[in-house]
Amino acid sequence: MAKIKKVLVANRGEIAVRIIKALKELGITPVAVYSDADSEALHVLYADEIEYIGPPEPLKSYLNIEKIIDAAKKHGADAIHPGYGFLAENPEFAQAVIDAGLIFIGPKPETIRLLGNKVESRQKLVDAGVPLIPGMLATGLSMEEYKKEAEKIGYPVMIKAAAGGGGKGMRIVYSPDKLESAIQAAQREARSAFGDESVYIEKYIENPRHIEIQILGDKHGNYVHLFERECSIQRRHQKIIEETPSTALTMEKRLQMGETAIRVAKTVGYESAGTVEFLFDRYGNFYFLEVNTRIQVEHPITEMVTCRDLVKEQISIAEGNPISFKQEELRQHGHAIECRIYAEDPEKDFMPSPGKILYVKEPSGPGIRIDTGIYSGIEVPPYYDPILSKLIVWGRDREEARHRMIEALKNYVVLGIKTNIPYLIDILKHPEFIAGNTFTTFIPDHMKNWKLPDDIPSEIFMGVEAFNESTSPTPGVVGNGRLRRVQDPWLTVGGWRIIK
Amino acid sequence: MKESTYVSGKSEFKVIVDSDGDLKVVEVNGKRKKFHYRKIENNIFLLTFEDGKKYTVYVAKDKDRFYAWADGRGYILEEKGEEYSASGAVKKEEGVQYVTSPMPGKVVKVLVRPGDKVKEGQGLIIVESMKMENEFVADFDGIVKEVKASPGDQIDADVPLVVVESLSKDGES
Repeated sequence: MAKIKKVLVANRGEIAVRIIKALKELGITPVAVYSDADSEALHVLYADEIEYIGPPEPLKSYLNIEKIIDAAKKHGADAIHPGYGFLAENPEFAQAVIDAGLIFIGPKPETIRLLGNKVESRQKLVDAGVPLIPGMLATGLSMEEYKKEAEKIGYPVMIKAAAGGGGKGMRIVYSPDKLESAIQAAQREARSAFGDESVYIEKYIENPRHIEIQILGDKHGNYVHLFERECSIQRRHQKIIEETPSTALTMEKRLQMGETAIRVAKTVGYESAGTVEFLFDRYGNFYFLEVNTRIQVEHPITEMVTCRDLVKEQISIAEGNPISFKQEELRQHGHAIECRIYAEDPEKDFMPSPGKILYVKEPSGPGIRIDTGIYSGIEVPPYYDPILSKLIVWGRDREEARHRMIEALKNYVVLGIKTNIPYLIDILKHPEFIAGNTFTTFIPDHMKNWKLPDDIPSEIFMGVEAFNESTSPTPGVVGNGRLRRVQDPWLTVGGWRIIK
Repeated sequence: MKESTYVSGKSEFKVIVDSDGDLKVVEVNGKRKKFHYRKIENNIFLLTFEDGKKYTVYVAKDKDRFYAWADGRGYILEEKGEEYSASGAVKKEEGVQYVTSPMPGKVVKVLVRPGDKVKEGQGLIIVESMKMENEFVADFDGIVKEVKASPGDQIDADVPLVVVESLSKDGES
């Protein structure tokens, strides 16, 4: 067993910060890497050691395998944690890390390769009795072949990037005449997001829920699942609100899905943390979608209800330790919800809104967790995914968690750029969300053409006036004499000490 | 007494600020309200009213733009001045659409050519930013006057990429 002492975190933003914090708690030295766009990023501020890896464009920095491995060697790191996105699910990277004599904190390269190749992995899983969505498995077809496949499966069909996830390179096509342009667009997006333009087609199941199971596997053949996360609330096929437990699952169904996820893990000999994604239809059928071979963005909600730390578990497993708990020790305790805070404009089709954050105030209180990558004064660069932070709340039940989330969002102040916070609040207040009717079509069904009211309360102008007056170099009348601060005794008391 | 006009999106607000003894008075579009305020921090203001109600507003300013937040909603306001136009570089002109990206990015595809007739909502240009492809569309039926960007170009925010002139600009009543 290898005790890890220093870890390079090959990522940026909130997930890099989250991993760095876990490393520090474990007494492991974190090394951060950064591009030109991130020299003042929060993960850089938190790390113990830092290394510059190049220009802002991901291909020249965070996706540059050679530079990252050189940085790890230069700093004498024993391991690399890839976070999510970027190189996290790139088998060449995992292999290169191992070839450099370092530990890759994640699954084996061959597992990533197999599960990244949806075609090959699906066949293996079908053989193991895992239920799959009707679809085709071939990639790299000619346009004619894609058309034939789509006809065979039946419209609507979904085009997906073979190399990726996270909604990048994904398109739904309802009719044959739209297929060609959709495939081309998906290929372009896939190439720029993953460096691989392969796409494939499968049957698009309407009105499904997205329910996934968190799994862990170790080097000793132990596997556990940590129950489900429901991630049906998605915009542009990217999750924005996740919760656990799912309102759709009975205990019987939950255990059935958990067992299926473990079967998937066993079939491929999975090591580390992973997520087995399923589509869950209105009849209670579930279909295997894919395995995300990384720590997931929404992992905190699982941590909140199971009282486990998945990142620390990943590190421990990478050191060669068995999973630190048994399946029968796990229970879901209460309810957790996560909202992803994005720099984007929900009124304009979620257009990204990078720029300078003038001011941030985070909510706090019982049951509130924030995994963040921002602070007052930071410049949000336009080169990366627009996620700023994640707000996670825990409640004794779903309603308590929901109310807590709404209040926390109201007290999450981000000035200087647009965020989706007001939009998230409206989703959480929606009767269909309250009722637990959360399908992946929730946003197009219930939030289409969402707009903030044009009206502005007069209090806003009062605040602006107060701001103007208090920042103007020659202040006029200060608002109210009675409320004016009296002399501060702590400043005027002079030299003093506490004697008891 | 101070009078200003604030712009937010397409709405304009006429705001008069005054004082009444030790109270401040704000009149927005003709409605008057009295208040006290207290600065809690540089960006936090506590408003109090004579009926015992209170309101907390967060405000910051960048160049000519005010950013405010209260009760789960954000507001962006600009004070209307003579010396500059709302979105920076581009002058507003009736019946002409200057297509600009609000953020820097890379041009992925140009969907029109100069002289093309376009319909309202038709895609003009695709720009990639933050790993997302954003399609910019025509605001109205018109003719493409100019295309100033090509695929692969790195572009800055607020720089015109495509210029569309409305069909109803001249001629029609």
